[in-house]
Amino acid sequence: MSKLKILQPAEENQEFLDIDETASNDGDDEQKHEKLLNAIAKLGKNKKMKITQRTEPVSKINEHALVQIGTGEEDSKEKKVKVNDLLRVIAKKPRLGALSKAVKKANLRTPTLKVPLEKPQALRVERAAGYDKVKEEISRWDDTVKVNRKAEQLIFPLAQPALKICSTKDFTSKFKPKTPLEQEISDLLRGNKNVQSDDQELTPAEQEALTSMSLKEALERRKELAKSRALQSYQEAKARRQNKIKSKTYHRLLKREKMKNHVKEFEALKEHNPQKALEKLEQLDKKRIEERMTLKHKGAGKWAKLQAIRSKYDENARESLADQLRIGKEVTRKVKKSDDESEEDIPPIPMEKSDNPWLGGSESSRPTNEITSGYRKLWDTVNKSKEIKKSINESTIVTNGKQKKNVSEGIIKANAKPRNTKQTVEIEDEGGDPSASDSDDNESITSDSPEMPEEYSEELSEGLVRKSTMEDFEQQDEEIKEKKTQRTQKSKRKSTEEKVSKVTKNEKEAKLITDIDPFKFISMSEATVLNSSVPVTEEGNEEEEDEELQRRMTLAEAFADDDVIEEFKEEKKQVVNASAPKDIDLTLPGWGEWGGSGLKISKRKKSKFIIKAPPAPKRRDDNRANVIINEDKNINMRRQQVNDLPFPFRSTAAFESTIRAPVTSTFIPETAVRKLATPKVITKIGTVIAPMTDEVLISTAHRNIESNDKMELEDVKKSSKDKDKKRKRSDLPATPPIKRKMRKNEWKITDKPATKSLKKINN
Amino acid sequence: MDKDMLKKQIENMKFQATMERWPLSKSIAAFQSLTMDIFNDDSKMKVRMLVRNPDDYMRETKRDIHKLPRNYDPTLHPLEAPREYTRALNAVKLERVFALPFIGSLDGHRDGLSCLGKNPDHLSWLFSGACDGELKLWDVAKRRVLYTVQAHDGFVRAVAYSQESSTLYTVGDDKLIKQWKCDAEDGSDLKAPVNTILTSGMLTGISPHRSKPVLATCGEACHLWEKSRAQPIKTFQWGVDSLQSIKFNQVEENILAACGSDRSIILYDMRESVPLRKVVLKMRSNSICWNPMEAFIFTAANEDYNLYTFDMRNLTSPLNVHSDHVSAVIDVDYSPTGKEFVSASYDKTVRLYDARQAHSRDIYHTKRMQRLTCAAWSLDDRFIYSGSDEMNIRIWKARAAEKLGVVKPRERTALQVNAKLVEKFVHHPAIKKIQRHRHVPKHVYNARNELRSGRIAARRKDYNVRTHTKRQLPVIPEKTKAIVSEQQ
Repeated sequence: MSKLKILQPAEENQEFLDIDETASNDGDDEQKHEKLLNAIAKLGKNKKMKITQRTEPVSKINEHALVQIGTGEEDSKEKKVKVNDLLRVIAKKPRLGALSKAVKKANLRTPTLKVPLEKPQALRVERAAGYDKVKEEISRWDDTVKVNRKAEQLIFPLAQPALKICSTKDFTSKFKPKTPLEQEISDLLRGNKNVQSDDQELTPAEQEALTSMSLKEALERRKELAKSRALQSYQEAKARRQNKIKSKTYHRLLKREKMKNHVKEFEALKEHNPQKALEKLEQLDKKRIEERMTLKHKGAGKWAKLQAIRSKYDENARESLADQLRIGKEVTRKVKKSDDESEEDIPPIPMEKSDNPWLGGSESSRPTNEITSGYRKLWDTVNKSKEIKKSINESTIVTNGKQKKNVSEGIIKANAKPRNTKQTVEIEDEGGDPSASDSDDNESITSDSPEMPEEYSEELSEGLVRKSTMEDFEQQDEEIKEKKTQRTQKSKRKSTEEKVSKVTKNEKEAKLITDIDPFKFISMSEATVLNSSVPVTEEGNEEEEDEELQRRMTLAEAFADDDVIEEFKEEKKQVVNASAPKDIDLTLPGWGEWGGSGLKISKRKKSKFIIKAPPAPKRRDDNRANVIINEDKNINMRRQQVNDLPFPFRSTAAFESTIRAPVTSTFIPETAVRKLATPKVITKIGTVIAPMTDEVLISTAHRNIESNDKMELEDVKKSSKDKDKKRKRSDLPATPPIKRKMRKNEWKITDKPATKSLKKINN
Repeated sequence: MDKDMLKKQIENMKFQATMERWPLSKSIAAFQSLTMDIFNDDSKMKVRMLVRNPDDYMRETKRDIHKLPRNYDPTLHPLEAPREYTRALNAVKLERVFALPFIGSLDGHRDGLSCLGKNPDHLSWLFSGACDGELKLWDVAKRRVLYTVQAHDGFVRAVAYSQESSTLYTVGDDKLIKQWKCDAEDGSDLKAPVNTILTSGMLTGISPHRSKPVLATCGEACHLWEKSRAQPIKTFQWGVDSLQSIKFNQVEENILAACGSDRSIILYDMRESVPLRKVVLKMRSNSICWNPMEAFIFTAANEDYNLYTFDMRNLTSPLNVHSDHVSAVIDVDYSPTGKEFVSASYDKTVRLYDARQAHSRDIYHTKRMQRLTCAAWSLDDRFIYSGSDEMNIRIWKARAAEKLGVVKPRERTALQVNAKLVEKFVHHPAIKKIQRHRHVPKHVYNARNELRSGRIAARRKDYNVRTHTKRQLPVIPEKTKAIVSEQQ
């Protein structure tokens, strides 16, 4: 390396040093350096490539040292000189008026033609336009196509010659007078009263003659009318006079009088015509409604407000105000009938005697009243029992005397710390029946624990399960008695005899009424049950009891009519029985024996001729109470059946109904078979079927219209049997849009002939 | 053992036995008491008399059929449906037994068929053009040739009869449009063309206007010709590709459709100066046919083994895709009722489709029939003509099991009832199976299986792609899959 350094020329070293020095110098040196660089850059390149770079923002300065407007920073709009500005100067000189006009003209915007689209684009536009036009044009076939597709039957060729013979009626209905003579005659006939219409026996003129009155009659009638008119005017005058009377007392009296009259009428009607009486009552009741709408007795009037201010000091004012409010209340109060009344009012519907226990009309079942008012009575008894319990508790409290205070304390303590207080526990033990029964009730409603309402359940089963024999009834009664005795024993253990007797009485009453067997409910989760062991105070207890009862009520109501589980069991039983093989009895009476009535088949014969059925094979659902497994399913059968609903059908019911409806003549009349079996398309061999033509389009449109008219006419005939069968078209129900379209089409096509005929008429 | 039946029988017997034991004297006594009751009762008691009116059971003439009094009470016929089911089964079997669609073949051409033409003025006439330029006029009823003429050099590309001028037009590979007169009953007018137009480009199809003396030809472009002029009156060109089939709409007479080799179907209006619209499919359409009863419906036979039915007003998606062919569909023709159409395919079969169904209702094939080139539905809706490579024209029945001879009224009702029965029970598997079953040639059977497996694979792949990609893939309905674009 050192050798190399030595070999390097001294000048180069010098230069390097120079550069270093310049770099350290000021801006002057920098400029120089730039120049140098430029010069170097220039050496090898074309001059044109040179790009000048401006270092400072300087507004362009032209050679006259004038600043060009628009290049500066200021808003150019303000400073730009416009032609109009220059013209202002010219305007003063009339000599140059022509010039100014020319400038103005030049300034007017002249519309220029747009540049034509390029060819492919233009073609595209043209094609699109043509396509749209054709689309619209071809859509006129829509209706025809639709009709033909939906048609029950199509007979090709479509344009069949019309073989229908035109009746005179058709002809006359279509006939239009063309010649002047025809025109004249039709004019004469049209408005004439002496022309008889088809559906009437008499001409209008004749009818008029028949119905017209004689002169005498007419005079009488006129008199009558005049009289009634005069009476009416008197009445009106009187009413006007009365209305003008300002006396309030008079009006009040009037009103009272009216009211009395109304009531009298009502009373009278009540006896003769209860229906009208009811209407009358409603009318009277309207007064209340009107009163409710007004603010008359609401204390909102001017007077009332004044009274309110006064009432602070004036007793009279206070009274009058109160009085007014009372009136308002009285008037607006809804007149409620008590329940007992309503029950009494509605006479019990005498039910037909039947064996249906649900209807309750049979002798074996309980009287209707008991069933229908069961829930109400249940409520009543529950309320009663509550009262009794209360009284019992009170009595115990009274007997305990001093403990009364403790009780209240105990209640408070129990709320805070339930189990710690001994006294409350004692109290509950003493008057404990209600609470105990409570918890039991809870269980009975929601779970199938058989502990509690045995009485209830017994009664209920009586209500739900049909008792076929008297023995059943007796047996049940015994059972109930037993359970009652058990129950009483239990309660003896728990409480004093008095209370027990009272409570059991109540429960007996309750028992008579309940309808639902709690064991037949589907068991629900017990999470909802408030079955806490925490001793509850009387007040809280009552509330809960209410809730419970509520729940019981709702459940009872929900399951009032159905007994799902029992039904299911019954169903399963039937299925099992049906599937089990049965003995086959091949005995023939009188065969090999003496015949005649009252003879029994001998045992020997029975044993010989009755083929005993083998024991039923095990069923898969034997041990599953809640399932029925159908074992009759046949795979071979399944293969022959339709799996999915086939396409045009929307519902299985529809499909099944088509399968069910027979089509052969064995099951339905021959005519029906023919109708059903007609093919959808009929063609005739050897007949050329030409493509669709406009004529078909017209004829289908016509056909549609005709059929529509027919249908409409039929509708009219069906709907009204009025004598005026001829109705205006506007009266008929609106036709659906398709039909209207068809009509439009038809009109379009037959446009020309129609105008022609019009012209002829004009001529 | 049927328990119920047995039980019933036993009960019956018991009843009879008890009746036997019921002494006559007792019954007489019972009747007496009853009558006494009736007479004692004040209320009206109607005693119905047995009436036997000879009009009800006697025939008026000896030739009348015997009256069969029937009780139509459904409770008396508990087995209605099963009995009808059995009848339907028999009916559908019979239908298959009688399904013999092939009527006969017309042979005489010396080269493969290229086109067929119907004559609305003569139902029994059929024109056929062959690949060697021969044109034949057939009397189908007698199954013989009426006239033969060497019409063109090379293929006769298309034959079309114009009812307006009652002349026949043919185009051939020699770039000529020839007009033939055919008034004579024996077809001897075909001796020489009435008019010949020499055109500049090649021609592949021709279609005359229904009521005006205008012709449309296709080839390099769509040309409209007037009968008396040597130059086209109008030329429609859209793109540079050639067209292989063109058809005038027979109902809305000014509209045309053509299919081009750029896989497009183009619509024209004769009155416009430019085409109307173009729809590009994934593969080329070979032929096109308008529905003669529904103005805006047309069907195109496509190379992708399917036929596509379009509503002219909505080309973005076809109304229906008719599949079942296992090779390119070459030709399609509508039945004159517009309810069905026939398609001729390169897979050597003819298929019949219900115009609004996706799958064919029938397939016709014979052992010797080769690739089909053309098919036509006769104008009385009874027959189908098919022309194929092996120089034969075949005549088929349009409905395979139909009886062609005289059908007496009772037979006709029986047939109709049978058809109704089949229609009623057609959704039941056994009947459906019999009704749908067709014997197909082995190559068709195999190809169908192959295609099916391909379809399943594609579907599986699509499913896999869908389940394993994060971004939502657009669901393209099966119908629109074949459409590439609709161009304005």
